[in-house]
Amino acid sequence: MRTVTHRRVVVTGMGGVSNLGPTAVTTWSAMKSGRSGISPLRSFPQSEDWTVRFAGEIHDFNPSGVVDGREQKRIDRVALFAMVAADEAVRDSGYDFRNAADPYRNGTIIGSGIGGVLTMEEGHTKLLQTGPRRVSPFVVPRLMVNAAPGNVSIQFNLRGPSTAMASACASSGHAVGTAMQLIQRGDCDVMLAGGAEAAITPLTLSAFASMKALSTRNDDPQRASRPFDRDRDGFVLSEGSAILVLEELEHAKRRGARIYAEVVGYGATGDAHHIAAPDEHGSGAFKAMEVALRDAETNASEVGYINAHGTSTPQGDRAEVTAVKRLFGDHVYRLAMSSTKSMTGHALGAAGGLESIAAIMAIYEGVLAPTINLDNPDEGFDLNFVPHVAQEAKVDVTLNNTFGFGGHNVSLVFRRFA
Amino acid sequence: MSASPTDSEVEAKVIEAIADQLGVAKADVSRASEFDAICDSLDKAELMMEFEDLFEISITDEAASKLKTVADAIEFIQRTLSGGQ
Repeated sequence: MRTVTHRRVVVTGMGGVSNLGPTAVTTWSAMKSGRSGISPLRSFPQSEDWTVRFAGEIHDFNPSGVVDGREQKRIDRVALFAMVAADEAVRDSGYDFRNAADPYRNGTIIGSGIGGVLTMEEGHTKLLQTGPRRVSPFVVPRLMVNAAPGNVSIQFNLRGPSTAMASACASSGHAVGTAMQLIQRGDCDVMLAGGAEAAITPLTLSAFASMKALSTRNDDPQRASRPFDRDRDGFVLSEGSAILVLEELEHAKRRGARIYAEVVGYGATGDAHHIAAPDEHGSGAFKAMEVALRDAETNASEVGYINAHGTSTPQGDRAEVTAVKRLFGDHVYRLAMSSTKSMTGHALGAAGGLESIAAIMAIYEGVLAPTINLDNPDEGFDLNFVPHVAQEAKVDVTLNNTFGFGGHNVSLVFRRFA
Repeated sequence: MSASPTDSEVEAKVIEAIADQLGVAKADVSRASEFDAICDSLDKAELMMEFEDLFEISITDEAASKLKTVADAIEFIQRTLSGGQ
């Protein structure tokens, strides 16, 4: 049990950019319809040497309207994603951050697994081609992993805590969880929290491919991300951003804000096992969910839906299913668990943000987004994974799991606001 | 050996490069514009690289620090191209 009382935190705004749509609204709509955002790679040329020739790229991304042309040249794609997502989230919340009475009460935490790696690669190429005196002075402010929160803090005059989270694919989860705690403690009133990633680059794609972490289903990209399916062969690298507006309950009520859901639990653990491989029993994942539910003062039997980490890797999915079955016991057959990565691919540090939107909207709209491509569930995978098509269900408590290389496990708990 | 560009040719290229870099209209940049007023130190550093590429010259950090206005830059470039330095 908790030994201290704390303030309540609610979600009052959401924004996103993904390969399913240029906004959180269009992304969620596409998730409900079970559409894939995966396509053959366009952003750089590939020879037959490349074992992976597809990804979850965002095509025709245009930040104009949020960031002017001059600023765009100074900011990497990853932070531009975050700024566009933050803009939507802020407009959605209806809260005037820029003219806040006390801007030191507002802050931001935005996670990214890799940061501005596109800038890093281009800068390094320039260095090799033209020498050290031609390296752009914008390389550092573009590539640093905290460029997203730095730019978003400027965008919305956020003068409270402003920082990045870097825990690979768990970055968004840590960001949202920590932001929730800052508000609970009373350090802040409103936080922009989430993640961003733009790492579909030659170096990153080839490096993940060398790890054998990626699906090589080049002949059928839209069927490549197939979490929990027996024919899954790795994840699909994707990109994007999602930002939530987390707000102290009384602050939200005073201004008559729309409340999507309450953020009630955060559990974080480390596997202390292997730098990239999951613990096959999912012990760390199990504990993260257990801690999150305890933090939420919620029984496992109240959980109606889990947005799984479910990346479509053979070992990772098995570890997660093992952990979930162990934690929920018989209740596991009464809840639903889907992986929206089946549609978006794996946006690494942005994944938890995008998937929190699905976990929140499951409560708010009563729709569970599906796991597409789940033709043949793997042996022992006997849960309701919401195969192929969305399901309608009234759920009051949902979880969002994110696990990252480095052995980072995060589970967030959302509850219907009442 | 090709002839050096005229002062007005240098001016046109410099102003175009500045306007492009800063995302402003060329009409908003004049010889009298001060770098400190129209851009920050990172923009200025990038602009010096742009001038080096554009005119195939070298601008040392010391020389760059003395260029306060657009006119200073134009005159420096012109002088360098005509072998004055």
